[in-house]
Amino acid sequence: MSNESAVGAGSNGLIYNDAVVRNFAIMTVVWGIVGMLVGVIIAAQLIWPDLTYGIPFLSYGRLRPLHTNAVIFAFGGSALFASSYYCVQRTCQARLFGGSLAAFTFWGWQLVIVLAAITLPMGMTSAKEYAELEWPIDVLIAVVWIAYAVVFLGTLARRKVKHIYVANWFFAAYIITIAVLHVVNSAEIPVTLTKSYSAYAGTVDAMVQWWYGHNAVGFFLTAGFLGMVYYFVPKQAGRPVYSYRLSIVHFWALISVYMWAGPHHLHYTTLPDWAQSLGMVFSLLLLAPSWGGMINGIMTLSGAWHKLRTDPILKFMIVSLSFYGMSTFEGPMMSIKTVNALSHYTDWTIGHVHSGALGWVAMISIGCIYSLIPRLYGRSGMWSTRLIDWHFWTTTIGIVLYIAAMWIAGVMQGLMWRATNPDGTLTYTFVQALAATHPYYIVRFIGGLLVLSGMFLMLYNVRRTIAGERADSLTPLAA
Amino acid sequence: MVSGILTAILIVAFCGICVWAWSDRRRDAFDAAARLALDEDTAIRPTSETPDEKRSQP
Repeated sequence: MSNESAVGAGSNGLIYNDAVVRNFAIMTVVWGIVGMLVGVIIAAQLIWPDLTYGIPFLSYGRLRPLHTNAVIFAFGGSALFASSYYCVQRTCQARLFGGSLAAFTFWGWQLVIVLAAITLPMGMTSAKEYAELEWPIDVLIAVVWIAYAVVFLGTLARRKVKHIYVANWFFAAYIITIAVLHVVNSAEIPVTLTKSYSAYAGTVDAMVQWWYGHNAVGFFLTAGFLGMVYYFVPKQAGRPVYSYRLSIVHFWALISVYMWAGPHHLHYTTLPDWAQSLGMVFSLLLLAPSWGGMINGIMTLSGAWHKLRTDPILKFMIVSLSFYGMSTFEGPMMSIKTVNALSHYTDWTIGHVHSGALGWVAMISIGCIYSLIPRLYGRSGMWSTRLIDWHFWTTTIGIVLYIAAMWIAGVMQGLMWRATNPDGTLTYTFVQALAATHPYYIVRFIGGLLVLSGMFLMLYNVRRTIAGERADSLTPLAA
Repeated sequence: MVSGILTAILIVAFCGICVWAWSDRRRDAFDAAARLALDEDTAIRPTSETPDEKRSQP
C-alpha cells in the first residue's frame, strides 16, 4: 500500500473496520510476551523450586494456569480475533457487522484477560484445566464470545461475494464450537462471588472436562489457526491454495472427527473401556484430515519454493505447518492405549503440547501478524526483514531444544516409573526419576528463553514499523 | 444397530462430499473461490478522492 489513505479501503467505496484488527494484532504481541515470560518463570521454578521464596501468588500451582490461559486465550485468542476479522472482511467484501460490537469484543476480551491475570495468582480457580476462571469471568467470556459470533456470522451474512471462502468456514466452526464447549463445560454452581463448584461429578465431570479440553485443542488451537493458514499462506505466497477441493473435504472430515477424540485423555481411568477405545479410534482417524490440511498448506508453495529464501514470514508459516504435521502424527500415536501407558503423566505430553502450541500455533500466529502489521498501517513491509529472520531462528532453535528435551525426559520418566525388580517392587523412587529429569529441565528452560527473546525482537520490529520507519541498509520485504 | 446405521450414513455422506468436491461441474466455481484470498489486493481502490488511481500493494 502506497499511503495511509488506502489502508482498509475496499472496492465499491467500502471502508473496512481495521481499527479492531490493529488493536488485536498489537495485543497478540504483548500477550505473547506476557504468556511466554510466565512460562519461562515456571520452567525455572521446576529447576529451582525456591526461586520465588514461597510467595503464594508466585507459586507454581497459581502461575501455571496463568501461563496456559495467557498463551492460549490471550496470545492465541488475540491472533485469532485479528486474523478472522481481517479475513472475513476481505473475502466477503463487507465491513464488519454490528458497528461498535466489534470494539466491544476487543475491550471485553482484554477485560477477561486482565481479570484472569488478577484472580489466578490470588488462587481463585474452578480447578478445571484450561477453564480455571471463576464463574463471573465465565459469564463475561460467554457474553463476549456471543458478540464475536454475531459480528463474524453477521459479516458473512452481508457478504457481496456468493461463495464463503474456506478460511471463513474454519473460523465459523471454531467460533460456534467454542461457544458450545464453554457453556457446557463451565456449567457450575456458584457458592460465593469467587467460588463455584462444577455441575458435574466424578467420571462424568472428567469426561465433560476432556470433551471440552480436547476440543479446545481441536477447534480453538486447530480449526481457528487453519482458517489463518487458508487465508494468509496463499496471500503471503501470492498463489491460490494448492487444492480448494481438498480444503473442503479437509474441513468436513476434521470437524466431524475431532469432537469424539477427548476420551484419549482418560485412558486407564474409571471411564468405561469402550469410551476409551472410541476416543483412541477417533484420534487415529484424525491423522487423515490433519495431514490432508498440512499437505494442502505446504503444497500451496509448489512452484514458489524460492520465496522461502527471501521471505522469513513464509518460513514461519511453512515451518509451522511442518510442526502441525509432526504433532498431528505424534498425537494419534500417543492416543494408542499401549503408547499412552508409557507417555501419560510424563513430560512427553508437555513436549507434544509445545510442539503443537509453539511450533504450530505460535509460529503461524507470528507469521500472520508479521504479514498483517504492514498492511494494517499502510507500510510496504516490516521495518526489518533481517530481524524477522533472527526471530525465526531463535524460535525454531528454541522449540527444537524444548521438545527434544521433553521427549527424552518423558520417555525416561515413563520407563523409570514402570521398571520393577524381580520381586515386584519398584526399581526407582519418584524422586530418582525427578532427579534424572533435572538436566532436561535446564535445556527446556533455555529453549523457552530463546522463544521469548524472539518475541522481544518482534515487539521492537512492530514498534518501528508502526512508527513508519524502515531500516535502510536492509533489503525490502518481497511484495 | 443404530450406531451401525449412523456410521453407514456418515461414510456415504463423506463419499458424497468427495464426489461433489471433485465433480467437473464445480471446477470453475472452486477455481474462482480459491482466488478470493488474493483478489482483495487488486480490488482495493481509494474511496473518494482519486478513483482512477491504481494502488500499488505491499
